[in-house]
Amino acid sequence: MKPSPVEKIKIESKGLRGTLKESLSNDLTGAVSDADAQVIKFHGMYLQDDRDRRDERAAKKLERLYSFMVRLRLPGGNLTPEQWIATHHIAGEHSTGVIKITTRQTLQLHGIIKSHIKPTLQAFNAAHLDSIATCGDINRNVAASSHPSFSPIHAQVHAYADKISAMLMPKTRAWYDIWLDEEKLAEYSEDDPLYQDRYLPRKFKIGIAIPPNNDVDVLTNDLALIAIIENEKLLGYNIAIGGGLSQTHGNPETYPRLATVIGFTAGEDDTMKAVYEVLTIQRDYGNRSDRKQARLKYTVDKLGVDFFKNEIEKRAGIVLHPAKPFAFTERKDLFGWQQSENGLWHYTVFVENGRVTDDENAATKTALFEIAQGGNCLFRFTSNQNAIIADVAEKHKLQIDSLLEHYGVKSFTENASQIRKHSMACVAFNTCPLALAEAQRYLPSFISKVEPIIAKHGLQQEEIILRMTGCPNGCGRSVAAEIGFIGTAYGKYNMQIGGDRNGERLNQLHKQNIGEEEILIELDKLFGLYKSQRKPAETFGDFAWRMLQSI
Amino acid sequence: MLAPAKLDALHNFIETSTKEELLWISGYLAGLATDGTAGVVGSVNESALKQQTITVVYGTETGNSKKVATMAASKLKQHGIKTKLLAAENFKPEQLYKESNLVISVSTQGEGEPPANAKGLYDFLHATQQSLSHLRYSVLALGSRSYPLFCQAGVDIDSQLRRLHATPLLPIAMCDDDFEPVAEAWITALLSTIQPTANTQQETVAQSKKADGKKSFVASLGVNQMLNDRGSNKEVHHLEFDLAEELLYNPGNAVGIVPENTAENVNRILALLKLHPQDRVNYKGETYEAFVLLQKKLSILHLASGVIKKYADFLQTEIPETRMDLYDLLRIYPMQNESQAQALIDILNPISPRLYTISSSPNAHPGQLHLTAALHTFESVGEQRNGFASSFLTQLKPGQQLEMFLHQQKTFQIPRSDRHLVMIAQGTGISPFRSFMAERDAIGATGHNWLFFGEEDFVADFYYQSEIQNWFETGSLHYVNLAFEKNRNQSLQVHELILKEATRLWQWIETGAYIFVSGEKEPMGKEVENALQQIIMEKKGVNSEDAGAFLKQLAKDGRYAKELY
Ligand code: SRM
Ligand SMILES: Cc1cc2nc3c(=O)[nH]c(=O)nc-3n(C[C@H](O)[C@H](O)[C@H](O)COP(=O)(O)OP(=O)(O)OC[C@H]3O[C@@H](n4cnc5c(N)ncnc54)[C@H](O)[C@@H]3O)c2cc1C
Ligand SMILES: Cc1cc2nc3c(=O)[nH]c(=O)nc-3n(C[C@H](O)[C@H](O)[C@H](O)COP(=O)(O)O)c2cc1C
Ligand code: SF4
Repeated sequence: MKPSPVEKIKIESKGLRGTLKESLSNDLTGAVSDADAQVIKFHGMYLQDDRDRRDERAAKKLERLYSFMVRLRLPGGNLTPEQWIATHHIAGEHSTGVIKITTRQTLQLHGIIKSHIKPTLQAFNAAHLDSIATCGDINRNVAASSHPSFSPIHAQVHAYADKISAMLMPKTRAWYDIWLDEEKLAEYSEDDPLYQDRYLPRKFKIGIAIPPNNDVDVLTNDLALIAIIENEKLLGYNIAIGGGLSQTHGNPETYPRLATVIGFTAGEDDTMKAVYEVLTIQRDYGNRSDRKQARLKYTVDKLGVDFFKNEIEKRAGIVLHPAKPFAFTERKDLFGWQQSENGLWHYTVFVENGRVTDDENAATKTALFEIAQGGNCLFRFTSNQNAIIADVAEKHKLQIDSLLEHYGVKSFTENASQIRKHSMACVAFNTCPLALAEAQRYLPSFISKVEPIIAKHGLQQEEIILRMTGCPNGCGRSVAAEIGFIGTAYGKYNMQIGGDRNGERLNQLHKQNIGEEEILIELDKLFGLYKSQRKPAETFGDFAWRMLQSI
Repeated sequence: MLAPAKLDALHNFIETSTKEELLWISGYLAGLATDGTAGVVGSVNESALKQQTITVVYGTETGNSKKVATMAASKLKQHGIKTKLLAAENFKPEQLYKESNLVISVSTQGEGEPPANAKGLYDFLHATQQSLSHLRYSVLALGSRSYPLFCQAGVDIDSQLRRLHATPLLPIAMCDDDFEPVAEAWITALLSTIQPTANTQQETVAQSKKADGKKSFVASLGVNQMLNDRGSNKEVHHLEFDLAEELLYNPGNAVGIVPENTAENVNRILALLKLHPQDRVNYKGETYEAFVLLQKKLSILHLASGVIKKYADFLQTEIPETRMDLYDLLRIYPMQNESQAQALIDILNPISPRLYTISSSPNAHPGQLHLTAALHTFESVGEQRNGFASSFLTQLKPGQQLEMFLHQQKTFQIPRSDRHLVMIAQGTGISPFRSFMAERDAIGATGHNWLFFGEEDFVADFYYQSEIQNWFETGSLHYVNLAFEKNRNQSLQVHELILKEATRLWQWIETGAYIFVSGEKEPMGKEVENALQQIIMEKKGVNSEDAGAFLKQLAKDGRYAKELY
């Protein structure tokens, strides 16, 4: 079959350089060429335009309001206070000003005009940050369980995230060359045994979970590592492959899938080798002609789990042991102050939809900035789009606490309803070109309408996971939620229910293509049934699943 | 109108006159009508005159007066008369006392003001008290009847010279848009005054077209679209008018528009004048309703200092020399009684029209006429104010009718379609070039096109961006260089872009390209001209004087044209 056009672009990109330099100096447009729009993804950027402004700009005879979104590479989602301060300033100077925490623990800035890209990336580089390979057909930001108090082996796991990220980086120096005007290093070879010149057939995602909390939603990744711990010691990882949530409306060949656990690897060496070879197998066998069939999940289903096991063992020269037992019992952030075993304190801030900004709820951006200026903490980001002010010594706790208090962060975090705190939405409008319906801009007001219904049925204490995405790509992991809303058209959503609380069962379609009014009626009905017919301690997701099965 | 007897006499007289005589008479009569005094034409001692030098001075903005002055000087020379030709800025006023014969060709700009290069001379004549009784002179005034203060600068110069007891060789002649026939007739008359016996070779006077050069028409506004995006400091509107009848115009032409005063301002003035909106008042021999007159005809904003002075004389009060709005004037210096309203109205000037370059093309936008108008803002006594015409125009609503007249800018017309064209614009200077490009695109012109454009913000102020992109992508526009201060890798000014492109630009010039510059006079127009001069100096290895001469020659050949305001 004919390779997809993106394949050609990758191969001809001269180490992911494409014609980016020419595109950057093209005076006439704020965009880059079509091919370069593909290439620039590998540099951690997307060409976007403000979708709210299309008609207005057209009437003004102006081209679309093009800008770029940049996504940082932050394995495990960690940042120093100095880096947060840098990000704060860069956001103010070059982007919309909002710092967006993503569902994969990293940060995005939106609205960067073409001429601002270079200064932006140069400033990030000065803060020892980069955006290499956070987008594109390549390994993405490695996600890892975020809260240090979950486990004493937290630091050890995060070191893995870093190592894996480093191992799977592309070898090209294009990022430095184009954005930092770095001179070509004569002796440096850009030969890339992993990605070669064709990279992967599609994006590739890796997540690492530390049971019993599945806060990273580990099974939604192409490759999932589940830390196996005995007596507070890390033995190794269960490896699962083939997760991915996207589907396309009207294309039955596409489907969401949770990763399948295929075995256990002990120790760092074997684990790293296994991870590496999963990528080479996907590189060699993944579908390169149909991008809708190119994710690892389809390769796994096409070739079978046994094929993968054998091939990994063969290529890596290791033995995959039988998977070890593990159990997830929750999938959430621990809001407020928590203390870890080493005595340090951590405050998880509720950042609604991950948008760090100052608004009527809280001056979160100012608060985090001033806390960073104090320099007495680290910043961590969660897969639920929240921020953790981490590693705070006892003696600094009060000062940080009073800043959180002063800027309304504490009261917002502590007073927000459970349903609000356990919900999330993807970006969608106005920047996402693929959005069919609103998500992050709409969710807060939608939740305000759900809250009274929850209260009516006395379910305020339930930590129901509700997620919304503007399209079925599922960036806010809406199919892995107890209640999911998946945009179908402007103002319309598929309503999905029955996902479990811990992220081990996807939800199912309940109502198709409905608007807010109908959604609220439906929720009222479902919550009423749940209240009256639930089993003891039964989660809403489990109840709904039972209900769906019995119809 | 004339009594029948007079009319008959006039007809008889006309029948016996040659065409040149008639043309000259028309200028003569116009001068007479303005002065009110019969022209006391100086008797000339020809032989004496032949020994002396005639100095021809021109004050010009767009080159018309210069053209006429040059023509006059060469004719005088051909007849063996020693002649000096000087631009007004090079004529030191003190020299007036040394000259014996002065010929002045001067246009009128702004609201009855002299061209910038004649301002020094103009002011000197108004200020000096020293007699010029030794001087003989003649004034040719260029202007346009579409402006209320027709040929005012020339008229002022003439009356000042008279005040200083200089002797007119000829009464002042005044030219409308179609200036050539009157000018040629004036030159002929000048020659015959100086040298009545000389064998004035019969010059073929250019066929005079219908005397009235301005064609008024009414257009109705279809679209009023602000072009700047949010966050811009500018406010430039794209206006699309629907034409009721076909209008013959060329890309490069402009239209004149007479703005209207706001009802609010008119009403508060009427209140101060104790006039009812429907009260009848007279102005220049016609009767109007007071409201209509003030709204549509009278200049009531930023009154000329002359008007204020007349008002002071009328009130017999001291008012310091200044300019202010009529409302403020009446507030600060109220009239003594209501019966003075008519007297006040008599003092006021009519509203001056403003020019806006047409940004549409006859072939690309048939039946329409587009303008690209910036809301002009400026500071006045610490307050931010908006320009009169530009706020009127940019606030027009679709469906509104607007009267305008065509202003054909002779020196600024689209070059032949096979000629290469360099277009240099800042801000609304883009407007003729949108017209040029649309036209060349529509007719499939073979000449190459190169656009330089500058504004503030790439994101918000890139006027006609999508159209320019289309022309570029489809190959109608060959090069584009853009200067924006904001949201750009490098913030360069237009003239800096030009210097960067010196090599290619010089190649274009050498292969016969036309260079058009449009937009603000200061600083863009000046800087661009300096840049061009610099390129010529470098590429030709000549000094600045020769480079200037080279540019002048280009302009003379029609290959360097400016529309600066
Ligand atoms: C920012 C983020 C959502 C958020 O609100 O946090 C996001 C935003 C976008 N995703 Fe995503 N995805 C994000 C997590 C996800 C997830 C969730 C996850 O990984 O845990 C998924 C589902 C899991 C999966 O990959 O299957 C996800 C599945 C997609 C897909 C579908 C991929 C597929 O297999 O078909 C697309 C579309 C595509 O790649 O063609 C997509 C594309 C996009 C783009 C880049 C749209 C585009 O291709 O032009 C969105 C940019 C919107 C914007 O303006 O910022 N995004 N995207 C998340 C960034 C994660 C990160 O830091 O790397
Ligand atoms: C050939 C030609 C072509 C042109 N083409 C275009 C075009 O395509 N697009 C375009 O936008 N413009 C164009 N213009 C400019 C246009 O004609 C007007 O000059 C411009 O719009 C400003 O007019 P206005 O009535 O708004 O300003 P005005 O009200 O006349 O103000 C002009 C100036 O007068 C002074 N002034 C006025 N009132 C006061 C006051 N109360 N106190 C102090 N000072 C005051 C200020 O210095 C001010 O800057 C062109 C001009 C020419 C000559
Ligand atoms: C901005 C502007 C203002 C003008 N104002 C007047 C005016 O007040 N009275 C007048 O008679 N002509 C006025 N004119 C017309 C010019 O005097 C006329 O076009 C003349 O031919 C220009 O001659 P020049 O090229 O020597 O400057 C104006 C022209 C322009 C462009
Ligand atoms: S789920 Fe769809 S709408 Fe939402 S960010 Fe992802 S691609 Fe965009």
